Parts: sequence; C-alpha cells; structure tokens
Amino acid sequence: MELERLENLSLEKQLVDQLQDEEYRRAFVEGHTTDTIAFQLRAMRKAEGWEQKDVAERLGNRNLQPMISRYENPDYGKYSISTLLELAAVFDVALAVRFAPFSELVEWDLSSNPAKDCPASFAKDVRLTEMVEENKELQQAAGAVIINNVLGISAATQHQDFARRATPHTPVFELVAQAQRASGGM
Amino acid sequence: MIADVIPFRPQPQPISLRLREVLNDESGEITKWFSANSGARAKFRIRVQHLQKIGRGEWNITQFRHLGDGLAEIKWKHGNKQFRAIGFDHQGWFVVVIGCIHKMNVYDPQSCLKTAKRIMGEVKDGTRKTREFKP
Repeated sequence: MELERLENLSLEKQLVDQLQDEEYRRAFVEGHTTDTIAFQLRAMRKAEGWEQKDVAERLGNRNLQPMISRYENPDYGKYSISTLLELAAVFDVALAVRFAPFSELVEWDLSSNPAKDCPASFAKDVRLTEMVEENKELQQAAGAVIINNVLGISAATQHQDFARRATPHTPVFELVAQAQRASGGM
Repeated sequence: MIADVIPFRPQPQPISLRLREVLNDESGEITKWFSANSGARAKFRIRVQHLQKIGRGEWNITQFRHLGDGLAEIKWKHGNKQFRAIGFDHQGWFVVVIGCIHKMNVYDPQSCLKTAKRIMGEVKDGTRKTREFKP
C-alpha cells in the first residue's frame, strides 16, 4: 500500500515536471480532450452493444455514421459542442466542457477509476442513488441534533429513539413536534 | 477525488500495454528522442493510457499496426505530423526500439524499419539492455 502511494507520488512529480514545458502542456490538454472523447464514445457505444450506424440513427440520421467514425478517431479533434451535446443525450450522460486548472487534469490523468473511460447513463448511475440515500441519512441526523438542542436531552438517547421512528421523509419540524409531545408537551 | 465517485459501465478486462525502451550508454533511446518532441510525448502518454484500457484485439488500425517480422507501431498525431513508436512484443512487454515520423507513406528517418529490426535482434539475443518506460 505504502509502496503504491510512493509510486503514485513519483508519477505525479514526473508529470508535474513534464508540464513545466509549455509545448508539453498544450499537447497534454489537447490529447486529453480529443483522445478521451474518442475513446469514451467508442466505449459507451460498445457497452450498449451498438454499431456506429445505431448511434447515427439515434441522432436522427442514419447517414451520420461516417461522422460517428470520425468522432471515434482520437486524431480527428474537430468536435462541435452542439454535436457532443446531442451525443451526450443519446447516451444519457453529462458533458463537462469547461476550463480547469492543470492540477485537476493531473488528478484526472493519474486516477485509474474505469468510470472516466465509460461513464454510466443516468438510469445506471448508482452514485446518484447513493447521493439520495446519503441525503436522507443527513436529514435524519440533522433532525436529531435539533431535537437535542430544543429539549436538552442526551444526544445518544434521543437520536436512537427518534431516528428509529422517523421515516427518511419526516421533515425536521415534525420530528421536533414529536419530541415535544413525547416529553410532555413543551 | 473525482475518480472515486464517477460511476461506470462494466468493461471487458483489458490487456495491459507495458512499455520498455532500449538503452544506449545508460540513457533511454526513446526518452532521448522525446526530449526533442515534448508535445509528441504528451500525446503519446495519453494514447498509451487509452490503449491500456482496451483489449489489444480491439485496437484500431489508426492507433496500432503490425508491420510484419514481429514489429508493430503505435500511431498518433501531434500538430500536423504523424508519429510512430516502433517496437515488438517481448516477455510481456512492448519494447519500443525507435521513434519516427511518418509522412506520405515514408518514414523519417527512412531507415527506421531496418534499424528497428536490427535493435529487435539485439534485444532478443541479450546484447542490448532495456528498461521500463513510462511516457
């Protein structure tokens, strides 16, 4: 584990050193843009089990297949944002075209998560579901803290009791009301 | 941080592309070649990263091509030039023996295929040392 961390630090240092060269920096940005789009498009298409003509059809014109082929060629590099947006809609994924500091691109370059190669569609985006779940837990925790403050009752006791009774959708004011009723109508 | 949270579609397990370069007086030939082409090196790094993630059978001919006699080339473009890293598979590594430019179906330097074959022979018979190359 420690060895892996040291190796990553060494790779990071090597990359940051290389980025001191302006020509390297420009090519690094260009390469990450063009190669990533081309390889992501191909990977997403393959993951769906589609041919290029299927993507063209979903764009509304079967004759666009040669354009899909060009877009999957990492040396092409003449993408239009409007077409990329249409493609994002076809695969139901987000498109993040924006300027960024180099540190962000370095982190992206060195990360090994396969998610960056083939992003999931909205429907298969498990992280979104996790976010909703985390939000529910956060709401419950926030409710318990407010109750404790209002009633001055031990945090541990109150959290166990009301968190057990509250559904994930119970609003905070409802939790407070429940707590007040339970403690004798404050 | 971003990498920890982005969900992904399951992909087939890729065949890794691990690179080595030949040594000449303790310095790497490809490292030396890239020192005069830093932009090409950046593009090469990213091309290799992407190739590493997909099975070799799926590499497109615009990115990788077998040249015969055991040699193959990784292809990429930088600026208006087509770059080539010529090498061969050896003991689980792709050993890059020479870098060159490809223009109008002609390699620059013109003798690069001949040189590549010679160096490949030297690596295989152990007279030429190699080391890992991380672009």
